Parts: sequence; structure tokens; C-alpha cells
Amino acid sequence: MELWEKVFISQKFFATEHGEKACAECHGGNPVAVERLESHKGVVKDPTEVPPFGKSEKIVCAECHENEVKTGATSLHATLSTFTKVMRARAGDDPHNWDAVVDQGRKNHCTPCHSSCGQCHVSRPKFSKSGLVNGHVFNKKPDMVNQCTACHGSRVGDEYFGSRGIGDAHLAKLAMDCMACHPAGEMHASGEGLTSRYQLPQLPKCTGCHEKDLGKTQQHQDHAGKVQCQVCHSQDYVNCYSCHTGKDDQGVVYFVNQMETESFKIGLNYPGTGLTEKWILVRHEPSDKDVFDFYGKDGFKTFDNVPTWKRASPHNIQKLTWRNVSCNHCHGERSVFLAESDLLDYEKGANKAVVVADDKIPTRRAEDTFKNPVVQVNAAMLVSAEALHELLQKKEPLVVVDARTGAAYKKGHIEGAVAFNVQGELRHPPDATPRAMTMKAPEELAVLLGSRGIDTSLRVVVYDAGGLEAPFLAFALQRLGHGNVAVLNGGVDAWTKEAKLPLVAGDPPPALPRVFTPAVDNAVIVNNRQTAAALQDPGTIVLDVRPVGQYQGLQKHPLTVQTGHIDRTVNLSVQGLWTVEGFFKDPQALVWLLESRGITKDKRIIVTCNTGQQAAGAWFALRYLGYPNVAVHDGSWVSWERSPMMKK
Amino acid sequence: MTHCQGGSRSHQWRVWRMLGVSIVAAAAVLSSDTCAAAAAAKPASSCVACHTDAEKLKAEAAKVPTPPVSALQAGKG
Repeated sequence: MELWEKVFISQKFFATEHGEKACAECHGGNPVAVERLESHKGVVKDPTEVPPFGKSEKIVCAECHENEVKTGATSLHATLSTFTKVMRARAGDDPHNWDAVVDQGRKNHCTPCHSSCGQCHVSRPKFSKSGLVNGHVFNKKPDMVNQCTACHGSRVGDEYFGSRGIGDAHLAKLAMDCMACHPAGEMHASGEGLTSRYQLPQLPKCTGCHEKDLGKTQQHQDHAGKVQCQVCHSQDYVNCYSCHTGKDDQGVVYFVNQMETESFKIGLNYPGTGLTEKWILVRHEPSDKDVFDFYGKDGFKTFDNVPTWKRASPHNIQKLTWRNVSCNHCHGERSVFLAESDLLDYEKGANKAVVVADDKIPTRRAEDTFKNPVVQVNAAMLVSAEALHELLQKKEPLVVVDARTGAAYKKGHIEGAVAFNVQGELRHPPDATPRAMTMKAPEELAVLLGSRGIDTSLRVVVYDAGGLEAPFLAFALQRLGHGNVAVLNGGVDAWTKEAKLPLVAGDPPPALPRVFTPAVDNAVIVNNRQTAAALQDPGTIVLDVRPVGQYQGLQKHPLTVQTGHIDRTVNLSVQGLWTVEGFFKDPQALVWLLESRGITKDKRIIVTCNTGQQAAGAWFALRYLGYPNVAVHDGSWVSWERSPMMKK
Repeated sequence: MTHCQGGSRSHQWRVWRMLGVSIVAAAAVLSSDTCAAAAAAKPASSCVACHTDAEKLKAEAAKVPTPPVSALQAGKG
């Protein structure tokens, strides 16, 4: 959002009740002055934000919305009071330690997450760099994209929209927004006296809508009251680790989450969760014992007082999940229960109540009749960091290609790797024609690849930063007839962090050009016209692999003009096929997931997305899983919406 | 019109709005400093003149320094 857009007031605003008030009545300032600095003297940007978070003397909304402000002023959004409670519990009794260390960190790094009336109803939250959402028009219901998930982004929003995982059925099937489960009564409720947000009496319960479903199935009869609903109905979710805070050399505060992993952990219920079930889902919170070391060592003197694996409510609910289709995907499955070995040294004491000992894991169920799918993967398409290292040590004839940007390559790359910026070199530019973002001609790409020392005689191993650039290049090479291509599973992080192997810095070495003679495979790519025709073919599935949020038209890719999706397509986010770290997920679980959506190997699959890159990521995944007939929609939505097809 | 003594200020505002009364007229009958200030300030407000003009805002925005964000920041909610 440009700075001017952030403060632009639309004419619509003046037709609303709030628009009848004089600006200065809420914001102060000098409305008769004409010069910018003079007229802004004394202006309060957010007149709904009072100290210690803001500068307004009062919450101006109270003048008309007395009841909402009465409790809302002490709501968890407004005060973040449970943050403070948890930190106090971990800081111990020493007031000096609190004042000098922990509270300094809290004020600088945690309080920006607070919100105010205005930051939910008129502008984007300050934490998300502010800006009027709708020309200053007040939204009674907050905007889930620009307001709710502008803060609750990397876990809640990305999970719900399918930017991590395949999204949530409540959005995909019912288009439910945040307020459908979290209405004003909960948002405006006072948080006074609570030690956890989960203690809020107004918190939504699954049974609020699904009570009638309980008892319908044997699984519900067996598990209700013992197992938190999310244990069976959530998918894998992201865990954050090792948040660190400080000020940079300019004195600007920052925080960094140093690691994110995707997993699924069932823990034992512990005091204060607000739940009564024995088994709950737990997520690793980012707080680290030395998170505030910048302000003083050992601030959390009683760190063990609060678990770091805490009650979780992932927003990626599905009716059927890999976990609930079989008893034995949990029963007897050590990996899904939080183990002592999952804990870092500093947090072992904090999680004693949550960890599930080996002898407490429910035993396997002999009566389970579910059969895991038999999957024959194309193993040569994926290579581990260790295996790649071994190939390089043996000096096997292969070309390693770094598919990231030039800057990333320069900072650190696998020694000897060829640089090929997939984002910039494979496609036509995003102009206003249907050619936008479509693949360059095979002959042009062949020359380009040959100039980097790549031809069909050598095996190619591509890596990226855990994104979809490497599969995209693998797809491009397949289209040119080069089938001997593998992707480094987990990307460059797998090389450095998992395998502990080194990178080297610097520019690419001079390439030894080769002649790449393409043998074009047109079966792997389709244009707009072919995609439109395929929509009428019962033997073909056009699979839109964008996040649910984009498919539903709530979110927009920067290169697209319009929101929405092509009619008669099936949606399954590609982000559900790879983990957040860039590793390919369990093939058996993936084949079950695809088949449960009707995506079977006997059908022709055309994959589409925004520009073709995510589609190529899904193309790679499907081919790896043994799907024989898969093609990518060239240029995808960006090309489609610029073509006559859009008008049909 | 008579001065409404009952109800909250928001109630009074809503009543006047429902009756189609303009802000200026409402201010004249409400013994509210806020309303009077609003009526007095609005016609002369330079806020509206600038904040509804995209071109003016773009020109002014170019003069405003961008708030510093640490290059080390790597996290969101």
C-alpha cells in the first residue's frame, strides 16, 4: 500500500454517519491551516488508541459506542494482558529483573501486536504498517484480509487461506470469515483476570455448530470428551522457534524467528488450557529462554513455569484428514505424540506436563481396516542433500543448478552450481497481453540453458530456497525433452541446516557453453484454448493449486488484475504438497489426499495457478507420485484473464 | 426542533440523522460543544481538501520520510 493510499479518504466516507463528524473532532490538529506541517500539529493518528500504546487522551468511540468500549478497552486485543501474565510467570519475582529486562523487551517487541477500535474497524493495524482499508469508511465487521489476518498472518491466516497447507474447510466450503466464529461479543469481551486467551468464556467451541454431529460416528463416540476436536480434524501446522529480539545499529527494534518447522504433535492437557480433554494438539511457541538477552541476561529466571508447547487451534480444519481416516495413524504412532526428544535442552522442564511418555501412547488397533495407498514414486526426481553430496564427492557427471536469484547465489551457493534465475528467465514479462507470464519459446530457452552449460546429456539437480523454483525448472527441462532432472528435497536449507554442508559465496564461474538440442514435449503444457476445452472433458480435471483464499477471490496475486477462479476447476493448494521448509510430504498421505478429491491416476490432470509456477510445483509432485498424464496451464490465471477466454 | 435532553449523545445523533437533519442544523439545537465544533470546523477544514485529492496526497507523501524498519526484522504475527 502506497503512503498516499494509506491516508486517502473516499467520498463514500462522507455519506456515512462517521463522515458527518469534523476531522478535528476525532483527530485534533489545526483544520484551518493550509500547510501540511502546520495543519498536522497535534494530530492524533489513531484517536482510538490510548496510552501506553497510543497518544489519544480517550477512546473517542466511547462517545457513541459506550457498551463496546466499556469492555473492549480491556479486551485482549487492546491490552495484550495475557502476554504480560505469561512473561511475569516466566520472569520470576525479582522486580528489577522485570523492569530492566523483560518489560523492556515486552514494550519494544510485543506490544506492537496490540490493536485498537480503529485498527480493526477503519485502518490496517499499526503492526501491519497501518493504512485506511476502505477510504476511512468504518467496517462494522473487520476485513479478514486487511485487518484480522494482517496480524494473525503466518499461522492463522496462512493456514486458513491455504498459503500453508491446503486451507480450512470452513472457508473452502462455506466461505466463512473470521467473524463467523469470532463475533463482536468475543472480540469486545474483557480479558481482565485471564492468564490465557483460551480462558475467555466467549471463545468459540466446535460444538456450537457441530453438537448434532457428535455421536453420529463411532469415532465421535469413542473420542468425544477425551480428545480435542482439532486432534482429529487439523492437518500439520507450523511451529516457530527461537525468537530473538534487539535493536539494529540504527537503533530500530526488530525480532527474528530463527526457525519454522511443520509438524503435528499431540500432547497431554495441562493446567490453564480451558479444555477438559486428556489429549490436545500442541504448537511450539516462538519464545526462547534468551529472547530478551539484548536487554539483560537470564531474564526468564522461572522459564519452566509455562510450557513452550502450548494448546493449539490450527485453522486448517478438514472433515477428513490423514490422521482420522485410520485409527493407526495415531494409535501406536510415536511420531505424532510430543516426545522428550522433540524438546530443546532449555525447555525440557517447561514441558514436563505436556510430553507423552512411550508407555502412555494409545496402542495400535487391530480392528482398523484402513489400507494405506500403495505408492510407487519416481524416486529419481527427488534427491536428498546427503545423496547429492555423495554424488558430488564421487564426481558423478551432473550439473547442479541454483534456481534462486542472483543475489541469493552470490551470498552462498553449493560449490560449482550454475546460476539460473527461474523467476526472471523462463517466462515472458507480465505485460497486458495473453502472452504475459507464459513460457518462452523452446528454442529460446534451449539456447539460454546451453549457454549455462546445461544439455540433455547430463543429469541436472536443481535447488532453491524451499520454494517452487526448482520444480519449475524441472518442468521447463521436461518440456524441452530433458527427463533426467532431480530436485534437491528441502532446498538449500536441507544442505546447510540438515546435512550441515557448506556453501561458498561469490559470482557464478564462467560457464562452459553446450548445445542444448530440444525435443519438445508438448503434452506437458497447454494454452488457454486447450484449458477451456479440457473443462468440458469428463476425463480431465483442471486443478487450481492456488491457496483457497485466492481461489475464493479474497486474496489477489500481485500480477493478477481480477480475483476469482476459472469455473469448473477443482481447488487444492500446492502448499499442501510440500512442507513449509520445502520438503516433499509423505507420498502415501498425499496420494490419499489427492484421491479423496477425485484426483486419480486414470484422469488427465491440467494444473493451473496464477502464473504457472505453483502449477509446475504441483506438476512435479504429481509426476513424482506416479501420475502419468499431467500438464501445466501456461501463464495460468494471468494469461487467462488477459485473453478472450475471460469474457466467456 | 427541540433540544433532546434524554439519551446518550450517540442516541441524539442517530435521532437527528434519522430525521434527515443536517449536521449544522443539529448543532444549532444540540447543546453539544462537540457538534458545534464540528459544524464550525468542517466548512473550513483543510483536511478534507487534501485527503480526498489523490494527486495532492502523492505530492505530499513524497516529502514524508518512510518510518524506519529494521533490515533484521523477520517475523509476522
